Amino acid sequence: MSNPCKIEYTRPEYESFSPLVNILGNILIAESSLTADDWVSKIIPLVGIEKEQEEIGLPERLTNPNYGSAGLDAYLKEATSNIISIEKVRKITDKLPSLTKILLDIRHDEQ
Amino acid sequence: MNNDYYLESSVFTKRYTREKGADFVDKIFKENNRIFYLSLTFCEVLKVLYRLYKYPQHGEHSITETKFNNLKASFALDLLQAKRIALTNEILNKSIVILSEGYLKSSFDVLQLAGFLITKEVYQNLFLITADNDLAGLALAFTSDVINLNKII
Repeated sequence: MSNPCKIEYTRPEYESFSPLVNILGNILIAESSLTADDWVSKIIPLVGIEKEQEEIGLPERLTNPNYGSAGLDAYLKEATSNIISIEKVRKITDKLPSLTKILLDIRHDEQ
Repeated sequence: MNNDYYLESSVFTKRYTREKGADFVDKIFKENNRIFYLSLTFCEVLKVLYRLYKYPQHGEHSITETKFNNLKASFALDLLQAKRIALTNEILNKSIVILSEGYLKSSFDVLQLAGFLITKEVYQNLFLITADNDLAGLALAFTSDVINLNKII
């Protein structure tokens, strides 16, 4: 028996809606019975985000500091494939100028 | 009891050497503490590694691709063990408070400190760890929870 609370959207119908409507649609599809707590914890903050986005007038990609986190984490995970022990790393840097000195020199070049 | 630490970029560059303070950083990672870093650290430390690999300057010898990848792997693994703080508008706003108090040559330094102060508002037992004397000095104007790796005995 179908749940009367469940709102059935087909993706083409709501794809052109605002991001908030899309998110709400997903939540309503995923969770057919929203409690008062759900509204406070999930819906109201989303309304706030949507309002900020509208005020800024830019897409989330340009305003959300966490946009692209998945790509960055994937890069980090892939980079660990060449891991060696910290002692071996220090054998490499023994023959190099101080990494910290380079970092601080770069910083201090900026006057 | 484990602690909360905010690692500024110079802490990571220390960690991969035998310099003073590296053992202390090792301990922080081994003790399963909660570690935070500002997202900018990713770029700031990678820039140092890329400089050694592709853009050596002032007579520096470049490192091989294998060694570069080894260094990068250690850095990546450390970052994956830590919690990344996003550079938010609140952090940018905090930089005004810092610049009103004192001057740091690098904008990165200002943002690193701003990121720490905002994170500390959330995690009040947070310690800043740095190997940058200027940054440590200005941070002390805001809190005593600052560990300068250059001053560890």
